[in-house]
Amino acid sequence: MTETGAGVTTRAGNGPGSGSEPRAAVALDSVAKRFATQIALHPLDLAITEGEFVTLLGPSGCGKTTLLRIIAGLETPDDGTVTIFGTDVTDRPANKRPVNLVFQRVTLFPHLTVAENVGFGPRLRRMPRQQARDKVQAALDLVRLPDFGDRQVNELSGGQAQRVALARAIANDPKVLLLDEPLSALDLEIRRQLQAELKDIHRRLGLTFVYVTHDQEEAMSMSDRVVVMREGHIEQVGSPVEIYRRPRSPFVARFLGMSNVFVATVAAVGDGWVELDGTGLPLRAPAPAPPPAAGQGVTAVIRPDSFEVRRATDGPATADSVPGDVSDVRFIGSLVHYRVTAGDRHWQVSARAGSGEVLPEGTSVRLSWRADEVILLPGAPGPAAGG
Amino acid sequence: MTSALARLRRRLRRRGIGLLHVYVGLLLLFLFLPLAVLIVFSFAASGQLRFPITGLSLRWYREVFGSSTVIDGILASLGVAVVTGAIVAAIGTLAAVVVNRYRFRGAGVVTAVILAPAALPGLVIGIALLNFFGDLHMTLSLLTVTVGHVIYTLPFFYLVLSARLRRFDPELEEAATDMGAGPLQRFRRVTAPLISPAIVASAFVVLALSWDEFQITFFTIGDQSTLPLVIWSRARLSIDPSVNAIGTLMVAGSLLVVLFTRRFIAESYS
Repeated sequence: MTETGAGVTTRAGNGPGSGSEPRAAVALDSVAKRFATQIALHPLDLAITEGEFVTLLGPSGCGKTTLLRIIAGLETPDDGTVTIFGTDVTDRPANKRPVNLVFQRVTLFPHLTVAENVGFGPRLRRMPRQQARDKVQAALDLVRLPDFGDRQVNELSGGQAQRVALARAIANDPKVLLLDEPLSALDLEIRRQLQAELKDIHRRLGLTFVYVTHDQEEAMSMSDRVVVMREGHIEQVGSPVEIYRRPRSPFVARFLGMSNVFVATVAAVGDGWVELDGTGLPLRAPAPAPPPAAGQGVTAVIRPDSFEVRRATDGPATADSVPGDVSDVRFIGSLVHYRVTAGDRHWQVSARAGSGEVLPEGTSVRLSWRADEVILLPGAPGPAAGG
Repeated sequence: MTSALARLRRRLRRRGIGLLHVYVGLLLLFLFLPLAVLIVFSFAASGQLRFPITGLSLRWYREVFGSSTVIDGILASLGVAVVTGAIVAAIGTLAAVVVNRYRFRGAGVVTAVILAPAALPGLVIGIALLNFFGDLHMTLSLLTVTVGHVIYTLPFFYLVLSARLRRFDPELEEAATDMGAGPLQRFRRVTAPLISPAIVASAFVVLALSWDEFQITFFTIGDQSTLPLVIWSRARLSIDPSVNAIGTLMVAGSLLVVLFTRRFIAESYS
């Protein structure tokens, strides 16, 4: 994973085609869509580079599936253009676009066998029989179902069915593979396994993947680049590390699971640091560029893992820590999630569990944090993210 | 008395028979006793329709198959039923697919027009058609009968197929489109194979409805008679025992169609 932002650009970044960078697989230019009275997508730009694994991430209703279906040609945008590998396909129907979609629900053809399903595309294009058969077998091998060709579709488990759907899409030789929450109906274990396999398939084929999910963990773990969407807008585009370490809005911070999002006032600015007031903690944060003025309202974020917590009785009270009480404990194996009450506020703190002590509820603690990981966002915090 | 009834109930229950079974049994008996009587009389030796029958014979069947009017009636009915089934399957499939797949203005009106004949008395349709054909100076024949049957059976076909199409996953068609299939290829390779059991099943329902249709046929028939009209003309003056044999044959034919259709309906709902 890299932290550079060359692959996907938004209106805020470089426009598509600004130099001799890698080819744009998909370019959306001012694409907008409304359904009846509801705006599904505000005009937005997005460029996806050849070979990239890009994830559209957001809560339900944010427009991510609509955007994917517009790329597939299953929805027509009201405005803007869709370009695939340099060709304007805005007015081209779905069946004439070099992309294929893996649907959220199983959409295998129930009257055909697994092999006939996978061979659907090649046969439509009148590929010679033997060549089509090889293609089907290669696709089934790729999804690790080499001996399933003669099965009936209704004999497959959910995970197998989605593998076959993936094979069917791949056998059609798409230039871009679109995936609309293909794993959301599966059990956690199978989902994890298929996430790893999808990533592996992406690596082996070198194909451009556009993936839609509402699961931030899935998005973070699989993608080269994540496009966070909200209410028909693109909220932020960046690598997983980038959006996690530098969320650009309270929404992104909250959606990525950073629950400590709060309003503060700038008390003083100087020497690369901003002192914050009104949080109950003696907080300071690295100054963003441009730095805010003293007295200005800002939104600050502290990731749960930026905190450290220890028993108040362990060692002396240091200047960079505050006293608090553990008011909730959730042990999830590798991590412990604490809710610590300090300075009249609740703070979400996650600590590595390791083999150390899990502090019980009611423990008096000292709470400290890494000041260089405190994030400042302009403006007031937005509404809480769904989910 | 009550204890006797209680004892009977207990004995029946021990064999796994409840009062509901008895009730359903009696109901079926009531419904099907006339049919049973018809079948028994069709094998009676004497022309006296009176119990107990005095002997068994196939004389009425011999008479039926020896009669050219009956044979002609059967052929006419079969011909009308098959042609009606084919026409209704073609029109009905297109109409049901168009109305259910492509939402358009006036879809409700189209549906209402197609379904209306199901709500109208056959008598009214018959008279209306008689006037209509008269105005057009059309000679009444099996052709006019077929037109009447198409109008009368289309709603049934349309309803059954629409029910199937409503359960049809539109994402399957989207998947076909996504795989590169144009509208015609999509229909031929995905939609049609999936709804074909329902089309066949509905067509057989049409066949059965047309086969014994009487009211509309009565007003639109020309020189040739269909089987129900042959029966009617025979039974009108006196009870001709050969009618029982014809009736038994019709019951047998309908049963075969129903059994055949059930297979397709089960398949189309799988």
